Amino acid sequence: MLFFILLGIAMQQPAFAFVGVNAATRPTLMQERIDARLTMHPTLVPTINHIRLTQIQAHAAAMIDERITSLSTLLSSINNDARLSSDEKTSFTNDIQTTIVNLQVLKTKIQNDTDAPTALSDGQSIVTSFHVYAIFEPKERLLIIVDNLLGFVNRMSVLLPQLQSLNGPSSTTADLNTKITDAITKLQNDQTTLHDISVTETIPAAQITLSSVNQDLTAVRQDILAMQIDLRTINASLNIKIKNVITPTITP
Amino acid sequence: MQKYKLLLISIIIVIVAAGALFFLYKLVHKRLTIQQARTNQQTTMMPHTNIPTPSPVITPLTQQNAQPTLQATEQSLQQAINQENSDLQQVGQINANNDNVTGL
Repeated sequence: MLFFILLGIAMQQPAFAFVGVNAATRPTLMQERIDARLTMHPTLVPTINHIRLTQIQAHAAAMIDERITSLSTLLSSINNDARLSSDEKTSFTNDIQTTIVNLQVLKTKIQNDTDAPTALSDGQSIVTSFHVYAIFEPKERLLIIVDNLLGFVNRMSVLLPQLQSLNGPSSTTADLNTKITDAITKLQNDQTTLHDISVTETIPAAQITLSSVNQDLTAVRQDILAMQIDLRTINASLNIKIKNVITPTITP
Repeated sequence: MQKYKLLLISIIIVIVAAGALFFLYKLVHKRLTIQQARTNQQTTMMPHTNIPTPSPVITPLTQQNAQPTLQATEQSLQQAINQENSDLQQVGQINANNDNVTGL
């Protein structure tokens, strides 16, 4: 009982003003209290600012390091991807390396900032100028998928005329042609769309575009599944034809 | 007489020394020749057997190779789908919420 009485008294004290306050309004209250203290003790201002600057610099450095680690992982997965051509690898690698270098430059700038507001503004640009997680990395990974699938479907389009020349069932080869054409069109559009996404655009706008590419990839997957069925049909048909050619006709 | 005796001994000593030197020279020369032969044996490049280079021409599809080709293509279609699924999963694992300035 005594504990609760003491707690009640304590909660009324300014030192415990944050307890029970909504988390969203807590930083504002905190800032108000800091400002009040600083008005009362102006000599504390330089010290507080220095502490704030150090905090921002440490947090910004951690944010940049985290992003560089993610980008390095992406870089090594690109280098190990056997499906990408050397030109594609060079293009992706250059994009990622440029981003890493720019992040390192920003990190150096933040470490050399001398006042908290500048450091804060630079720190915010880690997100707003790069959008590594919301835009850059998904964009690069989707481009890799699109490039790989496009290469694959293009090879299928080389095979198609040969299948037609072997007199595969015409309806099936026609369907295969439709699926290949549809997949190529979608993938080429997606390639252009992804290249056009800028990392500085707003996250909702970029996510709408990324989501539409994702939908196209689902449709391309359906096309590939249909191509698989078509190939099976053509293969079965050719099998019958070959058997007819090889098996001698027995005449009674 | 004494003078001739000394001269004779000197000549004999010279002849013996020359013989010994000659013998040593022969011995060293023989060893060097063997060593040289061994070194030559190790560094001589053997003519390599001709490895046929793969033909850059893609074999056209015929009745004979159609079936294995189509089966292989069908398998690679499946692999492409599997790979796409796996790659898309990786895209889905990227947490876009990490792009926020909370904590700064």
